[in-house]
Amino acid sequence: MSQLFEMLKYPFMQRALVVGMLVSLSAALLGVVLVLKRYSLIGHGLGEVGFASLSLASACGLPEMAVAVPLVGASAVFIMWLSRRKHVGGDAAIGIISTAALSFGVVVTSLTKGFNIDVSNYMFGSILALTPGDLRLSAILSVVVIGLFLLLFNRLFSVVYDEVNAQATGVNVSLYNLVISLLTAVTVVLGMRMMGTMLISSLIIFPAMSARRLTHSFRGMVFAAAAISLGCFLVGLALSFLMNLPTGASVVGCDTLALLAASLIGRARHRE
Amino acid sequence: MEQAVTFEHVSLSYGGTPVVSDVNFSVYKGENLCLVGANGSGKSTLLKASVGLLKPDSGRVALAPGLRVAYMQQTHLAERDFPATVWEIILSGTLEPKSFRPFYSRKDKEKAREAAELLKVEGLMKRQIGALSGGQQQRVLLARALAGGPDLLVLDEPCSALDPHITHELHSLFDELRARLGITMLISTHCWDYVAHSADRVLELDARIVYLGPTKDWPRLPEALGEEHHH
Repeated sequence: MSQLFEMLKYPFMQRALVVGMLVSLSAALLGVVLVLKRYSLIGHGLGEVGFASLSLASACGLPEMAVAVPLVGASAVFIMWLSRRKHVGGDAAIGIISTAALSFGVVVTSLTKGFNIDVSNYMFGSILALTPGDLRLSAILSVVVIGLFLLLFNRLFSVVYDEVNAQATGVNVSLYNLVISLLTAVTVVLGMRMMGTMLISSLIIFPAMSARRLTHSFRGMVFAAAAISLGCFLVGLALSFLMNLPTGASVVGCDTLALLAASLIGRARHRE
Repeated sequence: MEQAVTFEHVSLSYGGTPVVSDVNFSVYKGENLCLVGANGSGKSTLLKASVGLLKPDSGRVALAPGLRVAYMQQTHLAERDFPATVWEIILSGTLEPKSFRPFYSRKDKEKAREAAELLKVEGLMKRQIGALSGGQQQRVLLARALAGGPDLLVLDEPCSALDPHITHELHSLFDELRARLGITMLISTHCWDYVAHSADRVLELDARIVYLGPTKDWPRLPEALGEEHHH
């Protein structure tokens, strides 16, 4: 226990804690929508675009966020546009963008600094990665993501539950899908330095999947996903500090256990 | 009579294949117009165009200004574990398309409760939608449609996945709703006995209009009434 209190004395841990909690919350909220719309792999696709962005920023000596936010945001819009094409579809669109971005990132890295510890940190996350500047930007953007989600909560439900009906009653469904894609892009960028570009999508998928097994209302799923996401992040961060593990992998490990437990509880309830 | 929806020389295609060509008709306020025709004759396509889900290749679909439209697509049965309660679904019917109010008002909740009572689903409010029977789910979706206080109700084969008993129950409900609320109805259906008894006018479709007129003059009316005896 004393080790846990000691952990909070380090400024880098304080930053990781604040950013991680905000990003976990944002990702969990968006995850509910993305999982129910069967569009959750977009987080993974955007994570790989994030890797390409970080590689590019590092090679050109540019600020990471300044490169990543526009590139990942533009990719989110492009994926959405591509997935609406008749002959492509959502899964292929994500596959195309993510693999193209990953290979671009690998080429840039190989031609410049080579695969070093920085690249490993990009891919699997590090709690040391966050600067005070990242903290400020992350806090502002997370508040925007969470605020917009809450403001649009009821409308998002109607689009998620029955997109055709929402459109027929005059709701601009494409606009809502665009907003969701952009908010996801921002969340991925905020979380990828700490969680790693390969693992950031787990913050979107796992808590929502666990919550789905435990609740029967949309509101309940949103609350449960937020609570599970925060809980798993806090335990994962503590383990990462205590056992010197990459943060992303440590948090995903907790999320995996939570999903297992939620599945067992859900199954037991179903039998009752 | 005042028009609720007007189709002027409308041609529609679906995935590049022409489905309906050069269709002209109006739905008048307060009437029940039933669309009949074989599968693939263009009924669903026409209904989708009437609510703006499909844009015509040519021609124009015009809704009366300020008309509130509710639409029920052909069988939207929920996944069993979809996390949505009956209350959440009915309440979502009260959302105004262009307003960004983040919370439901007391009035919205009242409207949702009234719609649920009208459809006799008020006892199911806390239940998960996927755990209900097909007939109950259709009632909930109809309650959602009514919660917004529509002037026009567009129903695409509302009974296609239901057993004859529930179908009969829903048909009586449509009649009751019209009598009580005076809603204009545009319904596509294969249930000719319902058409024979409840429609004011019939539109028979086979890529173009085969018949459009009062139900009593519909050439297939004797056949439709005969079908009732088969049931």
